[in-house]
Amino acid sequence: MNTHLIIPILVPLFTAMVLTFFSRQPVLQRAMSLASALGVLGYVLWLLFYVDQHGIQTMAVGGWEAPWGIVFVADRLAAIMLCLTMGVGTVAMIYTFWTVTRVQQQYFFYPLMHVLMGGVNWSFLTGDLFNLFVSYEVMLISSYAMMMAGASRQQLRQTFKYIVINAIGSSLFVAAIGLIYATVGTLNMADIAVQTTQLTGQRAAMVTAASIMLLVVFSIKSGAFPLFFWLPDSYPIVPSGVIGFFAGMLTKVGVYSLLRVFITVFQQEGGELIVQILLVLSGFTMLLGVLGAMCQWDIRRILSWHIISQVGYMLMGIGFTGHVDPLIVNMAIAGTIFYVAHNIIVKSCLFLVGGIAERITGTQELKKMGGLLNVAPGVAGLFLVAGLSIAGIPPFTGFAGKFTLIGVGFSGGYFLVVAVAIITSFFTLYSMMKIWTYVFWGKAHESQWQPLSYRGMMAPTAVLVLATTAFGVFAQPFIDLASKAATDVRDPNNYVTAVLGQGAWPVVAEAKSDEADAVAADDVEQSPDAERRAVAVVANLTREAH
Amino acid sequence: MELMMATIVALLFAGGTYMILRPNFIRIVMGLGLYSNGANLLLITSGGYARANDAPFVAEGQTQFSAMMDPLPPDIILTAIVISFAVGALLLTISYRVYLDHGTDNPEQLPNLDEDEGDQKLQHLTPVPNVFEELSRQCADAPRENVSGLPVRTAHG
Amino acid sequence: MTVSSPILRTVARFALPLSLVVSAIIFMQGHNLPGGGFIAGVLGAAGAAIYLLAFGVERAARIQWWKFAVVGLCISLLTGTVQALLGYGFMNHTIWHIGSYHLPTATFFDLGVYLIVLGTLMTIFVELGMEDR
Repeated sequence: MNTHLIIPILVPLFTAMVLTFFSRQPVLQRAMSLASALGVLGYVLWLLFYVDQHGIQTMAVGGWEAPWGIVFVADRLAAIMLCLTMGVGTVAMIYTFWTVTRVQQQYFFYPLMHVLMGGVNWSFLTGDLFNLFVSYEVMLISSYAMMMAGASRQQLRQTFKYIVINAIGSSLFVAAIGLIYATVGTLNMADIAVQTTQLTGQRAAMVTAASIMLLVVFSIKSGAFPLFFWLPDSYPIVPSGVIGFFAGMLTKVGVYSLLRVFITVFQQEGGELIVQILLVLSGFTMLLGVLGAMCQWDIRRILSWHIISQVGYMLMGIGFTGHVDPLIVNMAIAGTIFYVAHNIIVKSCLFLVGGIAERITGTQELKKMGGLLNVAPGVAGLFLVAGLSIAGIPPFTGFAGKFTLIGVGFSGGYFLVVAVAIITSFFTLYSMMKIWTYVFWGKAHESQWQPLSYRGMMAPTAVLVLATTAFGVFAQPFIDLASKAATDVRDPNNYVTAVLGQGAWPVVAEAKSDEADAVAADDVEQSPDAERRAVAVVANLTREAH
Repeated sequence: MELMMATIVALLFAGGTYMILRPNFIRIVMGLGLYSNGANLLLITSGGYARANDAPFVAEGQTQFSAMMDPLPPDIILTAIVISFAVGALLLTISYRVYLDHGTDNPEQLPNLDEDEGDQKLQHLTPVPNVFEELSRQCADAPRENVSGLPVRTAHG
Repeated sequence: MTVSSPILRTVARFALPLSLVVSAIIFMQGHNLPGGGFIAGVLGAAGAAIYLLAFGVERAARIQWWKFAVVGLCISLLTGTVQALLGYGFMNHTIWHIGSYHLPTATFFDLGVYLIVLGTLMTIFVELGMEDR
């Protein structure tokens, strides 16, 4: 029993409740916010090391054991995501100390931010499909309120759109849960994995149909191809500062759910369909996202369209898992996890730099900015690193992530999607150059500038820039960690054993009872070896590239 | 029974889709309500309501449980109802505010985003000269006459 | 916003205490019968809604209803957390025996739910009812 797993959910919620009583004391509120966020950050870092050493940790809420009650499960992937959430959340929170306005603080800005972080942490930790829905709603409702903070005309209009599309998604989520419960008879993720391995025929098709509904839900959340239109409209109105957290985390919760649900949980016959759909969608998402970014002239809109394009890379990584070779599947998941981590850091960083530029020039429009290089060379440096990193230039994280994914794609034979990914990468570079040219070069319109201090805001941004540089230069341990996490995700055995106990995972036993005894034994022996080989290959390539 | 429930669910989703596609804020909110009701009915049917519908409470000495309903779907529905209720209330409030702002409840008649700036520049761009100066001012003149305790909309209301 | 009908006012005077009593009964019976904090909270708020219709929201607007919800959330989560701190695990519930009565700790959780529902609904009524703001 690991009761401490509740900390990343409970502490933010309690902080939020206490902070609502101090909405008239901004200094106290900020100090308490920061202390709480730093405390949880420390805990999740410890949790990552602990999980890495001791394996998957579980906790049954209320003492109801696994298939019946709600469980919280922390495996390596969840722990990595928790660290990223709290890290980026803390950085964004420090940044908001400079940007939050009086009205926003009265609108419970910091309590909402804590509820948001608690909800995101919750969605990473939960091991129950319906609990995932509840955590999504906690996260979404606080994000609605944060999006409206200040209640200007535009904010209200765009938030209405955002709420409607997400409410439709929630209804579909509930309906899908109903179908899955009717077919499988359980909502515990590990138990679903066990039950669906035995499903065939009509019942398997039923689960696949329900999982396509889930695909729609997660596509809405992550901004995948046909369902991304809400994102570039609603992100430009989010209050500056917290936009860093929104852009970095919220879409990635959808990507995490795709990874977790479609690779670990649904094991039924014919379930590969989802992965194939994702591979097709990923190409469109990447290309349309970046094409949308290229024709925008508003810095926030450009960066918002880039979120979509970057989500395409992650979907591509998930799409590669349809390959038959477990080695390639493993590397694809590892690459996806690394790319998610890279993107959370860099995307937040870009939005934070964009926020500084907006604050100096007082506008979001590229053509009215300009000349920042002379005034604020530090900001230019921060943007340069983040922009190069997202375009995939070595030695930053973007290079390592893209390199892994594209390498996996080549060895898996997915040439068309890989070609799209490379083209997208060039377009991304073009788009970053456009921002660079218009914001940092050119003539300064100093008459419109605001006499605001911005230097303090550079410190939290610099932390993220340092992170992307450090993780890019010393990528090896992080790719190792990602591939260990990928093993847990790809093979449900560990996950199911941790949640339901020894011997709950039926697959190996069945294979042995068949004549494929030797093959199974071979597989078991080979897989750690294969992973080591894959890690070594990528390690060599990364080293050569440097 | 199950066929009837399935028909009702289908009708609710069809009606919800029709309502969401109408150019009217209130109808969109009502369509979302129909959606969530359809999803909840689907859940209650999936829990085997047609076969067993006793409340899942065990009396003393009870040994027969076959008439008892599965307790999980009602739990899930209760949670889903609460969430859709909260979101519905929020949406109603927003559509009322949008109506006050623009004088129309038709989303198609709202002005374009570019033309919609007016006197209302984005609120997060309002200048905040210095964080510490601002903090001391906040401490000094926080409004106290606010009746309900919720922040009053200062911008234009 | 007041509906000035004497019938409604007379009914509302009786409906409010009656619905509060019924909500208390339903709250207590939630231990082992259909009922509990959520339904009781909704009933209490429904009774209050009739009262607000008859006499206007201004009287209710003096109270900061959202604080009820926050306090309720605190109580609910604390019930779980105290059990976790005592080493029983998060949200584990026990039954205390006081004389011939027994008091499950889940009652406190339900009390929190009651306050949350009442506070949230009243906030919605008051905020949507105050048109002229």
